[in-house]
Amino acid sequence: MSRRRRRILCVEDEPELLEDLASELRACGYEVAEASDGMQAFAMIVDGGVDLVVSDVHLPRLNGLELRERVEQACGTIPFILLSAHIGLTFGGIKFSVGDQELMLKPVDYRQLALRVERIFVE
Amino acid sequence: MVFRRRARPSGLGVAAVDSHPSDGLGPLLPSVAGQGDWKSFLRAVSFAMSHELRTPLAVIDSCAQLLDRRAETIVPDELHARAAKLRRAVSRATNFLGGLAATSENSSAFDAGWVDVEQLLHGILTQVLPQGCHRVAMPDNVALMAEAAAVSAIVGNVLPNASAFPAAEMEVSVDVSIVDDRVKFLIASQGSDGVSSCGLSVANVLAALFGGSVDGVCERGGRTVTIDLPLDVCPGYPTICIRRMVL
Repeated sequence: MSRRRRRILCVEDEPELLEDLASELRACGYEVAEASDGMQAFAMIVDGGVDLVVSDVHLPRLNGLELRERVEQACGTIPFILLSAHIGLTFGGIKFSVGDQELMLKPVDYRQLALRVERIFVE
Repeated sequence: MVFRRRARPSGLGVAAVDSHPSDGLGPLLPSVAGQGDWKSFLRAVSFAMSHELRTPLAVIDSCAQLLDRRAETIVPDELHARAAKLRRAVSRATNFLGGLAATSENSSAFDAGWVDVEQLLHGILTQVLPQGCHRVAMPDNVALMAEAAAVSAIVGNVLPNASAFPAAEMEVSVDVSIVDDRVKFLIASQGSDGVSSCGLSVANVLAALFGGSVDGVCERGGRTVTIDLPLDVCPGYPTICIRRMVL
């Protein structure tokens, strides 16, 4: 019996980083879709078929935190991994810390990211 | 590929800069401090600068990881592409730092508080581009005067960015227009490569001080950056950064 490949949506407004992020996750065997801003990502998530969102926090039009909140309201819980260069700072009223499970510090360690993605899918 | 970067809310809450010494970013800081919002401004500028530097560094780190992981299987084409990507990232970082330095240099060229906008644009473009590679178009029947420190700091952060990764036949054009009570600077570069938006965040923070914004569209083969600033008085922002003189 064939199982549908897990589909990850990568959201990043820096094209050079988006390209690498998507490429690495594809190399891990996942199906990967790409979006360059929060609104575009939201539309793709609402369309369905997204199992996990890996998103930058600082995005044009709709930031990563707003995206997660909107997705929660519209589609229920879809796991997110948020990427930020500013852990330890307050953004959107939320204080980020290194211990946050769904937050990863940029520059992203791709091995750590792959492990975290795998863990989310196993859970 | 096209991407947009819009001025993000800076959370500055800063509306006024009363005095205008003409020496780049530096004098703007104590001026804002005089408004009692020094911490907000400093935080916003530091945040923007940090973001601008971290982005190219993240690209370099990403390239290094991928090269390491794929060392055994990488083909020459991919290797060349990686090398080009690394060089673009380094250019972005150095271009950003150059823009900051140029801001101070450009501003110090204008000692008076108020300077003709056309003169200011020519002055900055002459410094960042070879001779004959730029064009400035101004609106008819009106002379625009800019507060030198403020406007050169904003424009000075954008123009080196617009001319990043220049090709041999590159030209940068600046079209200035008045739309209602706003002044629009449409900065377009043809023939440049790359997709950098480096430097725009700092310009965004500065423009937001006066009720303005910066919007960038970059695509392969060219880029366009629009600076939108209030003309004369802007509600909620008592300090004027550009005023008109009817001819």
